[in-house]
Amino acid sequence: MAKFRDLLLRYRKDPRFIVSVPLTILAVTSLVFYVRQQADELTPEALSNRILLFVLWNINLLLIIGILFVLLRGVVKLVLERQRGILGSRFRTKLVVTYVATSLVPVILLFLVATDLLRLSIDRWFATPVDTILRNSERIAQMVQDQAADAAGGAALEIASDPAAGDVASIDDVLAHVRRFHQVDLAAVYREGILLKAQADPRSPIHQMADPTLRFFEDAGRTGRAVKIDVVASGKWIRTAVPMPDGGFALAGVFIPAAMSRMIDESIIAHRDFRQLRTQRQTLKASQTMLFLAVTLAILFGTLWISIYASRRITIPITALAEATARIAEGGVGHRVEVAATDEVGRLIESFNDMSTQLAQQRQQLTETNRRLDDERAFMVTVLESVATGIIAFGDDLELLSINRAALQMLRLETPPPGARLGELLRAELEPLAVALQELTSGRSRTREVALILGGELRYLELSAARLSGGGDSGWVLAIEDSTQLVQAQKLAAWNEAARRIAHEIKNPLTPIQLSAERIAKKFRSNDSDTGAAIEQGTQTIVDEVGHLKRMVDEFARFARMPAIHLRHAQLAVILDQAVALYRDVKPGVSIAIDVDPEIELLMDREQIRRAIGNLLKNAVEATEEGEIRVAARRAPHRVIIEVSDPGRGVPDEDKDKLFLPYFSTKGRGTGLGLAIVHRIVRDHDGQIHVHDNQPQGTRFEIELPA
Amino acid sequence: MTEALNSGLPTSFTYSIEIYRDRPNWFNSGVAKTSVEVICTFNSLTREYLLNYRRDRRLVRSETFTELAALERRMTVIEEIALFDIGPRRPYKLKVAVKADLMRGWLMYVIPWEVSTRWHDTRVRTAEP
Repeated sequence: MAKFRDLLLRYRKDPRFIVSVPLTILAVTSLVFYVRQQADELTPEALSNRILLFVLWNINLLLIIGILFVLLRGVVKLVLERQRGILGSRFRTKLVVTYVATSLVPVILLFLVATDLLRLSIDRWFATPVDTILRNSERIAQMVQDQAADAAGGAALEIASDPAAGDVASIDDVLAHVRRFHQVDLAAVYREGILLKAQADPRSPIHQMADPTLRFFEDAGRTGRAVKIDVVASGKWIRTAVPMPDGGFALAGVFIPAAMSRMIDESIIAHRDFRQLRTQRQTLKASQTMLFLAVTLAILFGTLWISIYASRRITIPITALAEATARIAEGGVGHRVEVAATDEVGRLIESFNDMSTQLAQQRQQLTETNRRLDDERAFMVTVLESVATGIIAFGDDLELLSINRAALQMLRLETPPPGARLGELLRAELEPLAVALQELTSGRSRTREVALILGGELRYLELSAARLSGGGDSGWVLAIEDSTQLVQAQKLAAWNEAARRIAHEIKNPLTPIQLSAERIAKKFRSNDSDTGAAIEQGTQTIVDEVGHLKRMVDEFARFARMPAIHLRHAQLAVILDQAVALYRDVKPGVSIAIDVDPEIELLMDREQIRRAIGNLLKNAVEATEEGEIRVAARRAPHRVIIEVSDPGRGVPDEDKDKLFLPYFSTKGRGTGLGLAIVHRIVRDHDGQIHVHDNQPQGTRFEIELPA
Repeated sequence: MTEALNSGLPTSFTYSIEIYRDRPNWFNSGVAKTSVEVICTFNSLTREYLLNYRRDRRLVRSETFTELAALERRMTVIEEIALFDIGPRRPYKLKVAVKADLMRGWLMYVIPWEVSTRWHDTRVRTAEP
């Protein structure tokens, strides 16, 4: 029971089950009922014939009902699906219409032509000479029987007309005479239906023949003659009776042997069968037409069913694909089509599912990447907000992308609204910052120092710009370092060192001056003979030291009054040649070599650069006892590097960081301002200067100028 | 009809006879009904007509005819002495409807088509003593 229920649940929505079960039940019920009602009143031939027609008729009726049911059900479902806008309904409608149209027209045409041809063939069959031949054959057979009946009738009539037949004593003679004379096989006299006398041919099977019925004699009495044909095992008896004047009946019979009787019967039966067929011609046509109709309807039913089934088989995976595509388009990635298909549509579904899976994986990866980026972004924001360096990110159109809290505090700005322009923020007191920003973004330099007066306080800011790389947006990142305290400390330290140096430099001449003055005074008091020479020597010393002091003060004044640079394009090779020419051959054993790319052209102040290179050459010549001083210049990315190297005694490591401070000197003489001047000139050109150990010995100065 | 009869095919008439009590202002009340079927088959070998007389699907009698005229008279005249047994009820205002199913045909060779006479009504008269 449970198994039957499982089967019913499985197939209850199957169209084949829905259609076939009621049709089968209806057909079987109708057939049983009809056979039950009709079986007891029909001959086997008629039963089979009528049952055939009934079966065909019911099959046709059931097929018509089935076709209408399937068609109407399919049409109603398609209309409802189209009204509801279900995907694939229009495509399915086109498929069904195409299937039905391509099968309906040829099948109906074939049915009409075939049935018409069949009916025509049946009519022609009955119109042939077969009818004439069979009819004539039957007539000949009937004529043989009629002749036998007439012969028997003539004999019976002679018996009835013979008066001696009424006499019992002579009746045998009469019957024997008549039988011999008329050559009949039987001569008899009946009274009141009972055989009175009979004479028969001993060779004839008279015992196989039954006595005539009373109705036979009544017919003979009413019509004057009655003929009875009896078919027996060995042939056929033809008997004729006529009434006699005394109320009896004279009867004579002719026996037709089996061989002739069979030919007669076959002729009669053949024509009878033909006439029966001709009489049933309409029924025959109907049965054949219904048979054709049943086949036609079965084809139509099958075609219709298959078309609906096939259209559904085709459209179900396509509809599923369309729905899945729509779901994915709405964001539901990972949706899979769970429709079984093994053909090209199946491969399409497989590809779609793979695509959907990949999309889901990519989305998951993207989500993970975004989450990680968000974390990194939050981390970066935290870092940026916590660092003391001000960070400003902005686009090429100067749209502010990001600014951290340190930058806001440095620049004393309020949190700007989203999409603010940097130009709107850097106004009034921040105007120098905007100018420096323009220089940085123009590519002339990547670092810059700016002094601002914010709220009446002088602030020193070191700017460093970097290009944003990657991504679709381009722009800049500006790092701002507040170096006010550092600069002030450096200045203070520099001034302390300068004061110490100045004091030392001033103190050094003062000692010989003091000693010379004390010696002059001593000599003058002693009034020695060499007093004059001592005064002259002392005064000379005093004059020399005062002159030294005066030169030192002049140098310091010049250092303090460094003129502003005037940038112009110039050939670097020319400048270096001019600087080298001043110090070539000034010291025996010391030579100067120059290696400069003649194509290098820089934006620079030619006098200041020549002075800086000259100061470096002067120190190099002084530090070199013998050897070659080398001056070289080469291109590097975004800059030009000038090197001045000498094979001299070199600079100790502990002195390298103080080398560019004013009044620092390792020579024991000089002002100590030469390298300080070089450093300042290079800084004024947005460049940098470094000191390295030369290989194998000596010192190498490296100047980097922006190109 | 004669051709069909002489072809040897079973030829039958079915008479449906119903008796009602006539109610002029209301539907007639059915009292009883019966069917009489005469089936004739011609034996071309013996030149005899076999007539089977059936009443309510039961064979009542069989007769053999050699004359077509006698057969036709027998097939078209129903001579039944006690056709209905309506009990002690008085058969006032009764009528009889007779229908003979003549033959079957096929419309457009597909649709079965029966040829029948129309119903005929007649008043029942009291039998003369």
